[in-house]
Amino acid sequence: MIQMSALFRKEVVESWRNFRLMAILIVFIIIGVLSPFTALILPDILGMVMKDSGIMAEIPDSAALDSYTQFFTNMNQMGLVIFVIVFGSILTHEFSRNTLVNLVTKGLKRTNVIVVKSVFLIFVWTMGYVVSALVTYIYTLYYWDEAVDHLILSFTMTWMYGLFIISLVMFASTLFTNSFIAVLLSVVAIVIMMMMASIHPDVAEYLPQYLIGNNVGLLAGEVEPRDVLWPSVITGGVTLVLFLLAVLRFRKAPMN
Amino acid sequence: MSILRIEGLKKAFNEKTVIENLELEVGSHEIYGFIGSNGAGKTTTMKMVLGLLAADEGDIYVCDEKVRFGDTLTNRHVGYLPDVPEFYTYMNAVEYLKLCADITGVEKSAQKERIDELLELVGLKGEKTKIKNYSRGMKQRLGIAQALIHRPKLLICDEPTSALDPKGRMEILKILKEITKETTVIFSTHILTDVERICDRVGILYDGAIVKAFDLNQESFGEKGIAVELDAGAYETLKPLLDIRRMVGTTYIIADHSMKEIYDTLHAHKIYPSKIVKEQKSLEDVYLEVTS
Repeated sequence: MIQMSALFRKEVVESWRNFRLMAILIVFIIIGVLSPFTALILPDILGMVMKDSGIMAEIPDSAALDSYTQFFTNMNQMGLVIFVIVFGSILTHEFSRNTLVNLVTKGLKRTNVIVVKSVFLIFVWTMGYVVSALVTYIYTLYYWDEAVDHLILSFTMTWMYGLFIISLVMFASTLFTNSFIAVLLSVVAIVIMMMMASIHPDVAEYLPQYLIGNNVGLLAGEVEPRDVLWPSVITGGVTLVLFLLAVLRFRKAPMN
Repeated sequence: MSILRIEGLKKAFNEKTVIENLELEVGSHEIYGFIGSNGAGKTTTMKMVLGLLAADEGDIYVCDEKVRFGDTLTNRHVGYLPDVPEFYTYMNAVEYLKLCADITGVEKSAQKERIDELLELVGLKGEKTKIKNYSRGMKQRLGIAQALIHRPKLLICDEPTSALDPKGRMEILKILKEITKETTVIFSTHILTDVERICDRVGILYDGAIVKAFDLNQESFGEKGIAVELDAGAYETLKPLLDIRRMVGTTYIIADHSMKEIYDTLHAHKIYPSKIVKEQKSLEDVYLEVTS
């Protein structure tokens, strides 16, 4: 436990002094602020563009649902990608710079390395995501003051998908010491899942991708909460298995 | 009790055998010099002792406990100084040693005293700058401090002086000599003068095995020959008469002849040396003999 808390403190100090923690917080806050703001001004922008183009059409006023649509689009496409770019090398850069050797040869348990780094990533992702979601929620209430059903479940779906991505990156990092290859492998895994979904659409309902593809559908009432059960269970299961595989692989990984 | 025992160690990379049936035993409080050319397998052996690489065959024991690849418990007895130690460069020395102390389970109440003691030993006391601003020599000294934080019984140093200037080398050798009161040191290098300066025993690693071992405190390497300093023209006269092995300037190393034979030959040809002395073999001479 002492090893784990020391290592966790080291991760916090490292990401603070390297400005990574600050960077991800700023990006997530920007997403939180921009999403409702974009939804708010989008009808005006569209109206101006259409007027300039001579198109006459009535643009409906934006609603709370548009704000959350913007939020999930930004978070699922941009937020997660930036998170992986900023923190995806958390293990591999220790390999490439050999910084773990000093600690492992002092009796630092390799399992603790994976557990602490995973917990730290989950902590940063959760903190950043909650702040971002709260900012969007507060601004959405402020601008529209409308109740939206299944909001917490909808937020939870992207959060769960983030955990899945973290486990994928951690596992890939134990296979490849090069951070670029590790991230690339994670992307390839996601692309394969998407291809599987397109080849056999029935499979798509059980894949992690379902969680980030249906947040808005759930809020709009197009998807029922029970539809989310199986992809959530499968995503949670796959996430746990990937974390476990990362631990098992790292325990027997040669270190140079 | 032996601190380190290696029995029948074998290791190959892609069918290229690096270590072949290596046997080694190192006792407590000695400095063991592990020498060999680049690529001889010194670092590979050390990494297997540390559980960082898996051995293909053979067993390694540290303090009579078997080393296991991966999470090996034996590392609690071991300190390791890599050739180029890498640190978290955004920390300063105290922060880094504090992290190491926590990892190795040094009691909180004893940490400050131990860190001060080590920083004093390696000459970094009061150094508050971040590690990223350290010179190579400072990093090497911090490397020794981190390796000793938990008072290991065995300190493994992988070419600790090879990248340092002469002053930095002297400082590191002095520290290594000092710490043998508390720990056993295994010291790999290809700088043979460093080994001669501080080691108690030495093993030459060649073709994957220790082909020659010496106790530097007891054994000499034997006579190399008799060195005679002469005028340049004397060589042609002496060449057919004596077994002249090597020349260094106007000094000739003459082997397989007694001092009397050499004196008589010189006297008979009216050659008068400015210096004549029995030369002992150096570690370098033995190393070259063994590895050539």
